[in-house]
Amino acid sequence: MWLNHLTLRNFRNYTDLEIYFPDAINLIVGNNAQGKTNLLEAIYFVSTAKSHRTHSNRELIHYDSDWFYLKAGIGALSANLSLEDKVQFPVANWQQQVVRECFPVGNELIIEASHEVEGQKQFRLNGDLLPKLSEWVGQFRVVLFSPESLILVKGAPGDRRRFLDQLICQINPLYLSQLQRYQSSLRQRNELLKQIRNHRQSVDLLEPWDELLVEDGILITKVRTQMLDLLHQSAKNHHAQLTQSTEVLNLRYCPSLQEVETTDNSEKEVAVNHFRQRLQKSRSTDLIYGNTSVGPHRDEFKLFIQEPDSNSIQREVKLYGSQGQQRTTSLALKLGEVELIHSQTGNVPVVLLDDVLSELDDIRSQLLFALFQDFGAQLFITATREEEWVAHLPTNFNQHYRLITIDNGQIVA
Amino acid sequence: MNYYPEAMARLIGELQKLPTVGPKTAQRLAFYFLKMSVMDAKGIAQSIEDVKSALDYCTRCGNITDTDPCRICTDPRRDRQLICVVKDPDDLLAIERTNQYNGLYHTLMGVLSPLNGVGPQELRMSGLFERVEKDHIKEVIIAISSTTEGQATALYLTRQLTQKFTVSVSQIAHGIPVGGDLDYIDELTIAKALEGRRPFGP
Repeated sequence: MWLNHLTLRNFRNYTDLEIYFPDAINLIVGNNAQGKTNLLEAIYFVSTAKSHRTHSNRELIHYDSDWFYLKAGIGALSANLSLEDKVQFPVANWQQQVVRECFPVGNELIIEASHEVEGQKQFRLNGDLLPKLSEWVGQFRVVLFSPESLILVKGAPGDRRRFLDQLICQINPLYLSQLQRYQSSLRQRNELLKQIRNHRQSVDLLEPWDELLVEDGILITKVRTQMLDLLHQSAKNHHAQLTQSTEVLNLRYCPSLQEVETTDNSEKEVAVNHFRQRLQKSRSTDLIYGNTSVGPHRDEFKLFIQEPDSNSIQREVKLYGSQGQQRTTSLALKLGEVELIHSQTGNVPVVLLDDVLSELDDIRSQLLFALFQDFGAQLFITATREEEWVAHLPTNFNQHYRLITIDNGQIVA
Repeated sequence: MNYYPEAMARLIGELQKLPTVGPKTAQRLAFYFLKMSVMDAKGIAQSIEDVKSALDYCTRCGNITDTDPCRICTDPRRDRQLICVVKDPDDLLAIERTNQYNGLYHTLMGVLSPLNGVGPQELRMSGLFERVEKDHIKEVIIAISSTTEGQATALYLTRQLTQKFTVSVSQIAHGIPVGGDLDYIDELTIAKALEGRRPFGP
């Protein structure tokens, strides 16, 4: 995937900006509070329909406006244009014409996102309005590395669950509608539990909602089991590279139900009965709390590291890992995300590195960039100064990069 | 809205009570009424009044009707031991338009939804149970959409009916739409369609 150009209107501190990105590596520099992260946030929003920093869309709108508009042109790496060709475009020449040659008109996917204070978010794909979020997610894939990525390791089970769900959605957009269905049944059941507790409904009304939870819950558990297995393999490999095989990373899926691995009918039957019984068993406590205590909404996965010797003890990174080990682990998970999106969809995601340069020691950052060179992903990196970036480059790193200097919502160089 | 004469302001206000009609549409419609001939305008007013005074819901099946019980409930050519359960009169008409169904109907006037405060008491369920018992119904077909609320309602009804009466209960098929492409259909729908597969060929 390649972000060809981006337009921002009244987004955060940008009133009107149109910018083209013919280069593979884009280094965004500027002092604090000039809009470096806002630019990455806009790219992230175009991909996921969300901000990575806030839940409030109001905050995304420029302070003296009541709407914002984003437009992005997305291309795939075209067959007759290799990554090297693209990188050799002179920096000064990133005018519209050059890009038009680079990505012939019509080959591009145009994504538009807009939001008004009093209205709903709107998304258009090549001009067509998209009514459903599930039609939208997965069209343009990005992976974001930011200091907050650390919550994948340090955060609550829900943070890891959301990471996994988001990864699956990027690969399999239909998963989102399954998840939404499950969540809608869950909300209805929880409300019903409270009504039964207050003697406003009878307990036999629970059964149909239990059935619906079982039906969707088993499918969700199955998809998560498969995806976590792939993520485990990939994150483990990257972790070994990052630590030069001095440590081994293990991911363990801890489903609220038992794992569902095959679509074999007899096994499915076992899983269905298992979920039914668990719901039955927890019914009395569920009624007291007005909340459903078993099901995929309580899933989590845990991260362990051990020494290469397979007999050594596994220690949970969240509890016993050092700061450095926790960072390496979150990095390995993110690299796993890049690799999975690549291997499962055939598209290399656009990679956003927000403020992470200062967090990595030299060996790891060198390895990190070597890996990106392997993937050939388009990179967007923020840093306060160019020297900060140069200091992190591997000695044999000779890739051309484009410097974008930002000052108060404007591009000055 | 005090720059309109009072009658005009009232009309715009009333029109806004209609679904999908906002202030601007209401204003445009009001001006259109103003330009209409008196006869046309009275025709509209009269037909709205007629609908309200002459039409009501059938006390048996819940269909909209001008005679009670409705024409479907009293039609002697229909199979009187077969009931099709639908959500509302719209759905009833959708099935009726196909000319493929020759039994009676029962509309629930909604679906179960705890979040919206809709339980069995809010729906016309007891009426259905009464009919099944008194009229010796042999089969009940549940034709409710496959949303989560619709499915919960179908599951609940099936359980209640089979526990209380000796009646066979079936549900309309859910799955791949006619002309649909498998590529674009989610796993759950395909799973349902596979589950509900039927022998094919001679």
